[in-house]
Amino acid sequence: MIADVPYPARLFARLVPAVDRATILGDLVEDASFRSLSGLHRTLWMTGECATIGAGFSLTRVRRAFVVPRVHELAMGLALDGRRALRNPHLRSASVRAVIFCGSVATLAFACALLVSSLLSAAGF
Amino acid sequence: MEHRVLLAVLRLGSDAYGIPILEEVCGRSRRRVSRATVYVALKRLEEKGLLTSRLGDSTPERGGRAKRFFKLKPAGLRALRESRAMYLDLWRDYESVLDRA
Repeated sequence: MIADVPYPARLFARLVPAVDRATILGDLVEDASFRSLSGLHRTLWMTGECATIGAGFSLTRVRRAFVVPRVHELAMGLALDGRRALRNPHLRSASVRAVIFCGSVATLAFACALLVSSLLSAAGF
Repeated sequence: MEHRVLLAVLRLGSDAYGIPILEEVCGRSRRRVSRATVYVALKRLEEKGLLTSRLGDSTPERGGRAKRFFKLKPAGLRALRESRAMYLDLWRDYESVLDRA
């Protein structure tokens, strides 16, 4: 039962939720047989399919873990951080505040949201 | 995508498992749809309570692994009916506009 799924495919299949793993692998084995795939072609095909399915489920989990702030909250946070950074006339403290502004939670959350949406687009969602 | 997957499950009836659902969605969409998209959509629909699933018998062609058959729940049928009513209403208003355009 284990030998019909190539080792690289089994590695990526670890990303699939355990409750769905066996049935999804069964579908891939059945489809590979229907397509008359064998040898390296079969290995590459199954590995590719397992990788994309695993990535799809992983991205869903990552997406659920992030709570992205609403756009107006994000804009307010950036505006407040920016105002505070520009208020102080001293260059050194203004630079420190600019670094803090760039590292602010709002900016980080926005960057994370962009990253997640890029990954989702790359995965075909 | 979830809408298309629900329609595929409805159409396939008792034979709705991974491979035929993917083929039905690809066929109706007339384009290649990623297998991952369909599986994730099936999982999401089950979590939303629109689909239910059961394990079938394992077969040697599948390396001794069972098939997971999906079936629409009453909430899923209701969602499809509401969706159909919404689109029919929408097209009723815009059909003449589209014909004239």
